[in-house]
Amino acid sequence: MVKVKHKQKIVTLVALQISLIVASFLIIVYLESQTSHTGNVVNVAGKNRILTSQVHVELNRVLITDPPSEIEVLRALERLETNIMFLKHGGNVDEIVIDPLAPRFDDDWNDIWNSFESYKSKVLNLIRDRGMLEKSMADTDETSNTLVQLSDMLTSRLSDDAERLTVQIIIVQITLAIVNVVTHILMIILIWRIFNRYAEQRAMREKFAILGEFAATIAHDMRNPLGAIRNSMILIQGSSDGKATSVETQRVSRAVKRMSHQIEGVLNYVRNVPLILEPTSIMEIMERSIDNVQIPDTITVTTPREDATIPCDAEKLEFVFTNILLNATQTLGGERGRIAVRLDDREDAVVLSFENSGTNIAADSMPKIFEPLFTTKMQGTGLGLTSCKNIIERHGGTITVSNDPVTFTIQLPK
Amino acid sequence: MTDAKKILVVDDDYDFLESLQLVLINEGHDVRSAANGYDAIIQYREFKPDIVFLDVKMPGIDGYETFLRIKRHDGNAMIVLTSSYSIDEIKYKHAKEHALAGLINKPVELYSLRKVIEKHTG
Repeated sequence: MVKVKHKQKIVTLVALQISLIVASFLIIVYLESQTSHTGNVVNVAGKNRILTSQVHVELNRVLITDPPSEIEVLRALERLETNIMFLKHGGNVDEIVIDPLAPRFDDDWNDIWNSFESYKSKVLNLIRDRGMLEKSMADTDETSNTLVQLSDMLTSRLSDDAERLTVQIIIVQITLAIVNVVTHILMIILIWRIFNRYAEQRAMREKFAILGEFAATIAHDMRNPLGAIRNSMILIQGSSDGKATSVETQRVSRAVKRMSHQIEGVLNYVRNVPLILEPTSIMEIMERSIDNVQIPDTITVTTPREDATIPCDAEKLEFVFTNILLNATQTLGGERGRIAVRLDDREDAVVLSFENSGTNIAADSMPKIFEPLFTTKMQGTGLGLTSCKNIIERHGGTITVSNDPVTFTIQLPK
Repeated sequence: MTDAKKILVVDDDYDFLESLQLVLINEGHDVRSAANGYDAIIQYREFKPDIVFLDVKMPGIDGYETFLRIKRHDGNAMIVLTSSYSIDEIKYKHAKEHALAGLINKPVELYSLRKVIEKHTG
């Protein structure tokens, strides 16, 4: 689970980084195209000055040539007009692409346009009435100067605008670089922390594995003497008629059972012992488990009438049932109470539930109840329920717990 | 009480071996014991038991090896391993493939003993 969570985090971060890089690239490409458009606009605006002076030159040429040719003046005027319109509406002329002029420059453009109109009408008048030419030349010069000045003003404003955009692009580029660097650093920190946590967990696991092996060795070594004690008890019980002896041998047998149960808890947790699956009656295992637990008379135990036979490891299931019944008995203590076992024989599984009338399991204990070494009791290894879960899961089943009333539910496949 | 069977018990733990032997004798069976794998093979040939309770962990040749050697001698031998849980999964699977009759954990319950004997010698 932990691994998956970390994997998801890393995948999310890598995806975030890739999208950041792509986004940065797109933003820069967009801004670059904007600057190139803006640069072009400045050039087009600047061209007005050259085109105006061309009109002027052609006009002067008309004055000195004989017969005069006005056609060049008209062409120069047309080129100027086209350029002013291009500046306003944008588009693509001779591979130069510009956007329509931004509305904030409308006033400047209108001034240029009006100045151009006036210049144009003056020039046309001059051409029509050549007598006027020399006299009005000075007036036309002035109008042309105004046009040039207005064009220059717009050019300069557009150029300022382009510069501002360049500065903005630099700021955006720096910001994106910073965001990218920060994300990279965060990523490195996260990976470092994940590795650290892994290392910690691995160290813990190794430590626990060593302790577990140690516990398993002790537990394992205790099984032979326990076996001898149990056998001897059987022999003593068989050869003695005295009531006192019988009570005592039973007590020793119970003690052996309890010790065996504890040992099994440790071994089931630490070692993956292979399951020995044989078709077995669930209720037969249940009866032995109830026998194992010294359930006082104050507790009423109800068992199901139904039974089911499934392939299972009888000894391991006996450990599970005993463990759950023992927990329930300990929870109820000396109080009056009730343990109800139910069996639901379904088509593909057997569902067993162990309900007891004890107090609910605390909400904060709930998620930890199947974790190793978690215990709220004075007695016990804290491995009981972990071993139970291990055994049930190795049978391909599930074990869950719920409150109101406290119920352990085991599902075993058929 | 069930019919008397010929049973061979093999274990290197003397107390366990003797007490199990006595329990089985009390149950009415004809029981012999062996303290190691080599002895078990010799005893098996001489005694020809109906069922063998064979400890897994023993000095010299272990339970699995003893099991395989007896099986080579008599393919129909009924052998149940008794274990203190130190089960080697690969060896256990190998033994299963060679018709291992069963495996019971120590401390052996009288209930399981009776059931196993009944099942395999029935």
